[in-house]
Amino acid sequence: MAEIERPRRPVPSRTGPIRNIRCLATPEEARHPSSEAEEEARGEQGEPGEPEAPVGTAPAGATLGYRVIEDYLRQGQESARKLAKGLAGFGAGGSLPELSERLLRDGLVWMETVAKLWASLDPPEGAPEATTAGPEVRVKLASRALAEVQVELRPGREGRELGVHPLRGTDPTAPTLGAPAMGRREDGGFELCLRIPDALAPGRYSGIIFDRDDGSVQGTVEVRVDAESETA
Amino acid sequence: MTVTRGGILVRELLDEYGALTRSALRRWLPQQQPRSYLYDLAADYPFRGGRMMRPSICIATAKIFGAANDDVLPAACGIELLHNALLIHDDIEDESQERRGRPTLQRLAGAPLAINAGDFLAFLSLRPLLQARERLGARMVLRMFEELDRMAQETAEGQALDLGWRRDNLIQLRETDYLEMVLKKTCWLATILPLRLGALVGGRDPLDLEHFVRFGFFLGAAFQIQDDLLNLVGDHQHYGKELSGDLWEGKRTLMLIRLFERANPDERERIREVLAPPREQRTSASVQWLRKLMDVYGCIEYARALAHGLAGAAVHEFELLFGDLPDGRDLHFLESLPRWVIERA
Repeated sequence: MAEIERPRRPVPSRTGPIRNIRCLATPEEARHPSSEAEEEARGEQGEPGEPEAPVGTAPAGATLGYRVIEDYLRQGQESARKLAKGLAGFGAGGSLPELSERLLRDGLVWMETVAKLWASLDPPEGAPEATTAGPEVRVKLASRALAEVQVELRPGREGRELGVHPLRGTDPTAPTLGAPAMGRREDGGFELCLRIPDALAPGRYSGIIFDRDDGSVQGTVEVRVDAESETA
Repeated sequence: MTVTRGGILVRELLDEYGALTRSALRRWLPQQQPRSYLYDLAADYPFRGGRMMRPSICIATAKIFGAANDDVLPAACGIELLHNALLIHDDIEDESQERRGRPTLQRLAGAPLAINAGDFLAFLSLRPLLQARERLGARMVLRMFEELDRMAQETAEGQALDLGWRRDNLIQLRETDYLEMVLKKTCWLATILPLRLGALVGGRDPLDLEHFVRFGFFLGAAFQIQDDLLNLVGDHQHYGKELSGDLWEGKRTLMLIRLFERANPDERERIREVLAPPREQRTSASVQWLRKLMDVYGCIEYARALAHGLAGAAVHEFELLFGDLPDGRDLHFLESLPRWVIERA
């Protein structure tokens, strides 16, 4: 039997994943420098190993950056938790700094109340309507956890077909809540159907309501999921 | 250098939104008496021709979330006025010589009047926001003030670290120390606040603004490192500031931190000696020695590569944040910014 040469795939130009994050933000020619360009670069930089950045510096930059920003965000969350604990015990004594923090927070609440009053007494001419959904959107919610849904829809959406993007949590890498269904009711209003999975981490999830025809942003949906179960 | 399509779009939108903001700023910076002691000084930096990156980021973000120009212009003006107020004070604190191609304000008018003009601009930055109540409502104005309040604290902390390290001649810093300082000093006002105010106005409040901190940090940090690099290797005409001014001022840049890390014990000792005295006692020869040593140890290339990594992370964070949103010019502008900040000359 005559020996037939087995067909072979061409040797791939690379055999591993590209892990150089620098490729994301550098010109095309920098991703695949020609040997000539490499020679030239070496020539400009003098003796090898002297002024060139060590290999892996760019990914190290991203790693360092993530370390700094994640620490920063974690510290912010811890401070917020401590503050929330302090507020829960307001009136039960505490140190001067703790009391000051509570007073500051109460001051903010007071300012918000005054602002609402101000806005209701003196609605500015031409100002948009208050940002509550009003009767236009009805929310159907299926959830075992305690949850609060807030829908803000810009006025003048009658007759438009709307959709909702998946709702994302504070941590962009965490699973999304998924896209709620946005439908029309017989009376012309909208109906938002949302199911919160039992395994969903407590937190705040938000997403955009968009016009299905032109993709423009028409409002927002925010859901707060509590750690406490409704039946607890 | 090849100009990419993204780079062209960035320049176009910076021009367009910059002109829009400058035009609105004229209303807040009147030509009235005492002109030579206050109003002309306050209007000097805002009309020297900065890049207008901050207001442009704010406007683009707001428009992505559906706002009209008139909704977001007060926030864009407020940010730009505050930025210029802090530039005046920074130039005095750093004893800087040039800003946007001309002598710094304290060199033109003297430090007392320059400080006063900076104070005025800082307070003036609240006025457009207050006036936005007519259009956006009182609750939105309060929310914007809360954002300004947080940014003011972060920026002051970052500036304090920068100045304190110099005063105490601290050199043995970690790169993470530098990035934390930049997060506070630069990123909050340059990128995080514009993104957050834009999203606040465009989204009419319910959006979770913490989402914008990561993208703003990576973008702002890459921007700052490139700015520090241009101070050492830039074209003076384009750069608009004194070349090697950061070395004269003893600023703790990533390149200086890297240099100290790589230098031998004798060189470290000399670096300490060079940076110990105040600016006026530093010599041209000692500054040149520092600059050359940076080349020997590849500090410029190192910082450039690190900035590329941060810009890459910004691209990644952009996708996570904005990937679901409808396509458009404003979205492409934000998407192209990470690359633009590390390629600008």
